[in-house]
Amino acid sequence: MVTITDLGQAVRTAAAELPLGGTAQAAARLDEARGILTSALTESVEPAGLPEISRAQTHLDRAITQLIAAAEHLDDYLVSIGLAPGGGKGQVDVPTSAPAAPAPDGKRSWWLTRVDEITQADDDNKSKPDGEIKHTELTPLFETLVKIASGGDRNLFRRELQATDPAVGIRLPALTWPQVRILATELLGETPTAKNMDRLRAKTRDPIRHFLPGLDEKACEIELAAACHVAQPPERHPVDIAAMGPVLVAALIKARGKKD
Amino acid sequence: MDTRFLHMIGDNERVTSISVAELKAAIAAAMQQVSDGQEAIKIAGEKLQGAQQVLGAILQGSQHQSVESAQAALAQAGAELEQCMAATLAAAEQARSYAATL
Repeated sequence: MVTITDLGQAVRTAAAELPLGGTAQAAARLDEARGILTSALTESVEPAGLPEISRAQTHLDRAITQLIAAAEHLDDYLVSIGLAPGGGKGQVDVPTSAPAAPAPDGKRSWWLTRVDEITQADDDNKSKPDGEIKHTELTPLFETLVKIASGGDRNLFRRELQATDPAVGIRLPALTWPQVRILATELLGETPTAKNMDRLRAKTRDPIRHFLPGLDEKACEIELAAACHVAQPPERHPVDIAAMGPVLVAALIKARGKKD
Repeated sequence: MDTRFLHMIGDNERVTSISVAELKAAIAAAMQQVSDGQEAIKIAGEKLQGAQQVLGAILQGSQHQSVESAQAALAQAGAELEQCMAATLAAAEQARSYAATL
């Protein structure tokens, strides 16, 4: 019998296999070809294939758009059956500023419940199902959370997560994980590996404890390693991944600043 | 014969020329890029078909809106890749024909 976990993993694997890298590679080749021809044919009246290359690029752009849309639909499906979305979109050119459709009423409880758990909200701070949704765009949400995480106000951090549209929040890793990788590399002065992860853990452990005290510490360390491509991403609640990212980014920015 | 073509570089004040040999070399270089692109498109199409088959098998019968939307997007992506490939073949043919006249 196929369990829902197996199903989720199979969908995630198939989504990760979508040829976004290959299509991007093809796009780069066609761009190069067009550049060479454009330069060589400036004075020529012969098209010599240029219009067809432009047409090919248009089709390729559309294919890439459709592949990204398919990956997002598959993530939506995984979330709708209660599983974490795929983790491979950090490498995908997701249109980060595109406003997402608000979640339908009554579909936020899974998000709010987990936010309260990992931030250890007391009775006064617990989510209200009819609370206002402030954040419906990804980039401003990311910037807000990183800014708060750079300070120390964990109640404000929780309130902003509670006021986040889940459909937007689950896309946070698309922004945060690549940033974590870049910042970690800058901080270390070399590519993160299993051998130098201790330095990253030392810089991020306290902020994670402070903002997300309900998260398992070991799980956070594995997630940090996964973000740096040092470990396989484990099965994780999407809220955990969404909330961890901005804290990690803020902690690594701070650590890099001290290093500078 | 070293017929030279008028060729503008950068702004309109600088005019130079490009030889037939240089033009042929440029076309050949561009077509090599197109050929590399075609290879990448071919592999991408195969991977896409593989993903469609896997998803079709594991989500067989699902009428979930997100699944249907994903499958529709993948089908559209496949069609775009096919049209992209056709356009690159036409581009290569045009370029070859032009190079043969030089």
